[in-house]
Amino acid sequence: MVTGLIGGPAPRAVGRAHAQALHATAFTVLAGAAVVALVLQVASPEKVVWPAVVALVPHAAMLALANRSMTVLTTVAYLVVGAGSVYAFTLTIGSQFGVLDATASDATVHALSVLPTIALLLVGGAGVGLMAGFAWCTAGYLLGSLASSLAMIGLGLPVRLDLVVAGMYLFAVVVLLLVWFSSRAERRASPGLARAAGEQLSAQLRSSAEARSAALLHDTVLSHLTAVANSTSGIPTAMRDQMRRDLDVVLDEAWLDVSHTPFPDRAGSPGSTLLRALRDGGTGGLDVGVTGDPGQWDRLDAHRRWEVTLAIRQCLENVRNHAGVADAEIAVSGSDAEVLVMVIDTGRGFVEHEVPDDRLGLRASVRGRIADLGGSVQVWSTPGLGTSVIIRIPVVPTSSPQGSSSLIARS
Amino acid sequence: MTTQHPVPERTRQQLDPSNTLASRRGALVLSIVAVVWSLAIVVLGGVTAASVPFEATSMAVLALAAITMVRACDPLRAPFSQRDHLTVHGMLLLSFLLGVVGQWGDPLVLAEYWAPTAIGCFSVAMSPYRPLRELIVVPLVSSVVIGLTTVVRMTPHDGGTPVIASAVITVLPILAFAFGAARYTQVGLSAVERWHRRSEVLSAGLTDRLAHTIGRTVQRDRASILDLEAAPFLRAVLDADSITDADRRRAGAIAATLREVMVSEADRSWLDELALATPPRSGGRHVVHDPDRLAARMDQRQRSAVRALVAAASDPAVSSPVTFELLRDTGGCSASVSFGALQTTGQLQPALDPYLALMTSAFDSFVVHAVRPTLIVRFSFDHD
Repeated sequence: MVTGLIGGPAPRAVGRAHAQALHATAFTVLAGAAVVALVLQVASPEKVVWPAVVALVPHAAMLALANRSMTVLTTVAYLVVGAGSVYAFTLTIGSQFGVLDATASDATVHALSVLPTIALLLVGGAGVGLMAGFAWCTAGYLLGSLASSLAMIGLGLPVRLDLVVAGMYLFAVVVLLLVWFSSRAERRASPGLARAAGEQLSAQLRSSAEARSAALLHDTVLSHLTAVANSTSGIPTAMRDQMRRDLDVVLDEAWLDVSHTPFPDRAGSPGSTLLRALRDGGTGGLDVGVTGDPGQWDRLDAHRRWEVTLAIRQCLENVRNHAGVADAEIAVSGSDAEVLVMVIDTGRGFVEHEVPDDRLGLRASVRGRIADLGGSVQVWSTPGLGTSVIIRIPVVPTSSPQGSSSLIARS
Repeated sequence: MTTQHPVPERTRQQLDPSNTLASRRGALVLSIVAVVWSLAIVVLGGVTAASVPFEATSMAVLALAAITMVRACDPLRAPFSQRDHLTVHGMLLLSFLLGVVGQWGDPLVLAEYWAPTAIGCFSVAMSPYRPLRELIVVPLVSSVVIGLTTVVRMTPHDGGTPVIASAVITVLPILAFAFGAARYTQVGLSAVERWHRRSEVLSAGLTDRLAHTIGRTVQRDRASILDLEAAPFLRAVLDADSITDADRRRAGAIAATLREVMVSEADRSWLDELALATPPRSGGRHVVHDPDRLAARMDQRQRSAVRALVAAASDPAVSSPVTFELLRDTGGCSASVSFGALQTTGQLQPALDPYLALMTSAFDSFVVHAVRPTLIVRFSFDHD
């Protein structure tokens, strides 16, 4: 399935599609009439059928014009020229084959004689809505029937209601009604669906903002409160400065700006921004080594680098607090679509589902943050053997709410 | 009613599912028109004793084709597949050939050829459901079969008319209706795709504005909470020369409260929030049973579809508490949405049709059980 579009094209577009469908049908009918008339001419050289083919040319030309530019003027012109064409066509066929109505023994000639009239009632003219379509269709039917009747009267042939043409007229009206009722029913359902899509977009944006906010709160205020609660002496000066900066950040709106990053880009070797970000952000006193292809890091934009750095910092924080080791490794690699960062330690490991629900580090600061970027996090941990946290980040943003917002049509 | 989604096709039904719902009504009317027309032609044309079995079987197969068509158009069975299309056309051709066999040996009367018009009607009915190429190729094949049959049945210059002229006249209704239907599909699809591109551009701007507004709201909420206790406390600690035991205790208490709020927010899924935000008008409350937190695995489109369904449940015509149940399955996740204690089950499904159609297009294995007074919608997702 491609998408659940809500709303849909405007009624004018639906009306245009219907008119063009009628024109395509009319073109096919005229082409069929021309082919059959030519076959009859070739089969009976003594008869003069070719003027009927010539009579179809202006009819088809005006149909092409009306199809290209669907205005009142071109539609009226089509009806007038088409009626003349019907007259000439009927006159030619009638003069050569005699009786043309349904009582004729030759059904092929009878069917041939009504084809231009059928093409004329498939006028599909200018305007939108049921009444416009009905009016043009009826005008085409009446004008075509009048023109063919006049031709038959001129030839001295009997004039009767042609059931084939009348049936085709009724069919065209039925299809018109179906298209109109369908589009009306569709428009009725749209507001409720569009409202739901709009609410989903709002919910998604709110969820995204809350996830970022929760991660930030966890990394700053909650972390500092815990540090104060667990402190045994005073707070070091560097940490005081960090706490002041963090308080200013969480109480300010700057964190809303995805282009905001405290780590300015500076020239350097591939991957140097990762090392610098970790150094600037702090590694919690751990000895951290970077391996793999650090150049992949530079494929992420500044916002992503900033968010992933915060997630890595949280992973390192977990190593420092829970793994019981003093070092960790960050391995960077990548594919066409994503950058992969692994935070590896050889500490005591853990069982993820046994982590208490109130531990928010991995949940909010790593998983929530990376999910918000459209990435994913996998944790491989074996008690006694260590832990690997695998973070995958798409190079091109994929977590944009466009999927949801595209559901909003003309609401 | 079960659906397994094939590879997406460029059809109006698949590009614009909610807006092709009403097309089924058109398919129903056109199918009836085709059957009634054919029956009238056969009866009025005169049926001989020898031809009765064939004509009767022919009409029965035609009716079966109409039923198959209408059944396949059911939005809850979407999408209308190529197999459905070929089955319907196959039955139409079989019906035509049975009629030909019944009349074999009799003089050919073109006016008694009901099949081209009937097939043309079905081609028009098929247009919202199948891709452009198929809408042209399949009727063309039918035209060739019917044209050749006409040529075989007629002797040269039978009735003074060349055989080829009669064959063209015979198949013209199929070709005219099929090309018209194909053009309708082509223009309609272009309009849908054009509208889709435009709405993407418009909604991108809307998303940016909305994101900023919502972000500010979230930030202010957070700042208000922090300004109550945490921020003043941390500032006081930073301004003080030392940390007292009372400070440590208070820091721990504030941290615990803050953590509790954050855990509670993290535990609440979008589905929980949805159930809370849209209570049923009939009273009571919606229930969410999602022990494995599977709601998070639905994509945005699926969430929109569920949201729309729940919104429909709040409609006065439908109003009912809803129970959601999401369970882990072998292939992914299975889910059910149960509408309970409905007083108007008979009228419920039409009211929910647009929403169910959206669900059909968004989820796999979609099934609806309607047993008065309840309606249960089952579906699955995340089949990787």
